[in-house]
Amino acid sequence: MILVDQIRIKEFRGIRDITLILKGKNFAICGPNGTGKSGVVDALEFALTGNISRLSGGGTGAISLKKHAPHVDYRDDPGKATVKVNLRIPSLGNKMVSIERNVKNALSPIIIPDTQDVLEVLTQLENHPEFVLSRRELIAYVLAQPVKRSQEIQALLQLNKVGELRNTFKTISNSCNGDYTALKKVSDAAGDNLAKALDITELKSENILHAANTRRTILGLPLIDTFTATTMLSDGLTTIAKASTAPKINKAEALLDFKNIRQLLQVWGKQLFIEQCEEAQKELSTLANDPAIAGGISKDQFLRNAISYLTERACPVCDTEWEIVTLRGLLEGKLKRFEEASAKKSATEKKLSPIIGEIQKLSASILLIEKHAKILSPEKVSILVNYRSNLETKIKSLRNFLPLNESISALNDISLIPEDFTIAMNFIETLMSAIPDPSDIDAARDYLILCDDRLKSWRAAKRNAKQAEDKAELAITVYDTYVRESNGVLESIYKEVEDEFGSFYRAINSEDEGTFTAKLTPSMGKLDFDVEFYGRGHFPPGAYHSEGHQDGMGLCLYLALMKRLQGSNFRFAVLDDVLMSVDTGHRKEVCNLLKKNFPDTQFILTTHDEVWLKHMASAGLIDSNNTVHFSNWTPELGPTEWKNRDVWKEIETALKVDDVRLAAGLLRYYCEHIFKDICHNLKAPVEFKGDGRYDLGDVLSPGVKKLRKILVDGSKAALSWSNTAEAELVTNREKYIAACLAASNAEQWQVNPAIHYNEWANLTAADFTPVAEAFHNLINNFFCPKEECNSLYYLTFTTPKEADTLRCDCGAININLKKKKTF
Amino acid sequence: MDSITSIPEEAFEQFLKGLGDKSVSPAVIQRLRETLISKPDLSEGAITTALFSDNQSL
Repeated sequence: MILVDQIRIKEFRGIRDITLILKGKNFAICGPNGTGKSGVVDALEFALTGNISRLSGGGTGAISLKKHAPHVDYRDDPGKATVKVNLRIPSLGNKMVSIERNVKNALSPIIIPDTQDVLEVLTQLENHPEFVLSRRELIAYVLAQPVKRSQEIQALLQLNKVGELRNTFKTISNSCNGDYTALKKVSDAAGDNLAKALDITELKSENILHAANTRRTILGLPLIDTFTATTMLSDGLTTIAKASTAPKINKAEALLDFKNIRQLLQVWGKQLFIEQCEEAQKELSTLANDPAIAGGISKDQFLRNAISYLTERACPVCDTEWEIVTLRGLLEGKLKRFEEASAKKSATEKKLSPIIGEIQKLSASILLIEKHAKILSPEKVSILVNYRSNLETKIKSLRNFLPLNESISALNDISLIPEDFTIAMNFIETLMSAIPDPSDIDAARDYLILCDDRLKSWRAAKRNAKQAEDKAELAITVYDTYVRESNGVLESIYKEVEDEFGSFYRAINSEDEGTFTAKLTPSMGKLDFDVEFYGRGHFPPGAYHSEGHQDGMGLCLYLALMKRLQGSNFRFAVLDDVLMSVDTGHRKEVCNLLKKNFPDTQFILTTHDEVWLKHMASAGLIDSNNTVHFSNWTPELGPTEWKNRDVWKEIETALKVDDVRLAAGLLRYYCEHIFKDICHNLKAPVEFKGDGRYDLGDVLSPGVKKLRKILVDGSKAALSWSNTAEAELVTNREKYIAACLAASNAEQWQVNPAIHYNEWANLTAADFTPVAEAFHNLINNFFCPKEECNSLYYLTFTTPKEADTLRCDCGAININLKKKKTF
Repeated sequence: MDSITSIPEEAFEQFLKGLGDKSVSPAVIQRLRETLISKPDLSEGAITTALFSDNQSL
């Protein structure tokens, strides 16, 4: 997708001002921990995406990009923290592009040229920050719990949308199913009402017709032969006749309504219902008395509400801009913490559901009685309304579930029917019973009118239920199809990744795990990952494999995933210290894997291990000059990188403005850096330190001693070949070095690892100037004096442990160390 | 165009094909295609409309 040619970083993270030339090729950044490597990684990510995932992911708390991406001295001036990247886009004919961002306006980069084709490529890159792989992600891929691994890999493959849509289909299906269940109940209830009005037990066509025709005969109406979807039982009864003869109260209907409510009230008085209510109330009290669970339920509810309001690219509470997918993922992640509370809530809700149903039925029945009461005894209506309102309040509290104390109160003495309500009911029923029974003709007419009214309601309810059923069927078909097909696609992706992963891993472990295989098994939102262990079966990666092997697995899995995701567009990746545990024996293979399988991908590799850096160079993964080596880091200077710097000029400049502290720091850190290289090149014996942190006191003396010994050996070798001129020249060199060493007083300076206590810093500029000059002279003895070469001396070998020559890159220095053999 | 494979899009395409095999009406499939791929909007409201917009009377 892109190749990075250069990056300029200013006042960003721990970096003051640094320019790295990458030339679109693999590039290595080496340095001990805390020297600024990750600052470069952050800068690359920031320039290309406007974000730093380390500062914005989960668990970053109060850390933010705007506040903490600038260098600490510019924390209040984020506009000064800038990163500029010059890159090429191979797919656009290697079009050169520069992108520059500052932290203040992180989302408004300056892109040149900002043509549509360039912007499309950069937008793709911005949406795929996974080009940075850190050890944190690597561990997540390999060692995480299956659910966490699945989330990490899904994020890498951007599968959140796939999962989100599955959840949405599930929600819609559940909702449709709920609608259907509710409407089916309404339809069944309407059927019951019709059957009661018809006074039949089963709603069959012949039963309906028989009952209706009996009344039609009384009224002298023609019989109905067939019962169709549009049949009206009162067909032929004129509107005028209905209106003129209709009584104020349909006694038959009123009788039915009273019968119904009496039956319901009987249920309420039964022990079973009372026990159901008591049990539900007890469960609610248990939840309320457990603060963790009660709090969990409350938070669970809050998060679910928040998720349901996620329709804009912003938080529904504070309007902070978010990607909906990211925010939903974050909230869903938090929801998982309340799974136990949520499960307990669901279990209690299940127990409340039939109770709510009974209350609803009673409330609906009271509403029907109210209609009759308005005619027969208006003064009693308010008593019925009060009790019905009370029941509706209970329904609302129980449905809301929270606050728990309201739900608990709603069930208090629920089965006790208020006395005034009972008295009012009895009174109204008595009045209703006193209404004279209608004549046979009136009763038949009332019967047909009531039945037709209920028939219409039943038909409408059935239509609604059928429509809801159709929707529910479509929703479940869609959901099932989606689950099956998307799982199929994911399984096929995982299979491809699994195979590719296996082949990569075998490539780096061919000598002992040549038949290695792996299994990625998705199931219910989890992703199990098992790897073969020396023919003994498949186990989780952390079970038996070493940490080094696990690191290798993480890299291989990442590469396999990226290959599947980006294919030939996988052109750029940052591997941030991801192979720290890979042992020496497998490093060459890792380098070969990257070279062979990803020849067109530019890898930016960071490592704290200098030996790893040399492996990368010797294996040809990186050019030895396409590296940067950070030696030290201080808040004032940032990472110290010496290549391409004229440190002596910098020291001179600092001393001119009397900044001895800066000059002393520069000299000290440069000496530490250069003497490490000198010791490496000359194979100088240095006292081993387990932590690998060598300071100037550890490396200066061994480096100087070794060069002097080499020169003494060179002089002896020259004499053995009777080359006295060369012997004298070499001896003089050795003597000069001894003089330089003495002039520098190097061995008497207290060498303290903390720059702030370095005694040099306490000198005046006048006193420090000769010190710096002496060290300059001493160090010059290790470099080729030719300006065009200026390389450090190094030893050459044809047999291990016995050096042949001391050389420089251009050959101007070429001191033979092999004596003439005497027989 | 320099593009990265969209795995969600792969899954959505396969899903729409599967719906055709399940005899779901072409109108529903067309509306889902619009909502999932052509003009992506995965909100519950948009998906509900795509599924039932010819049957919203309830």
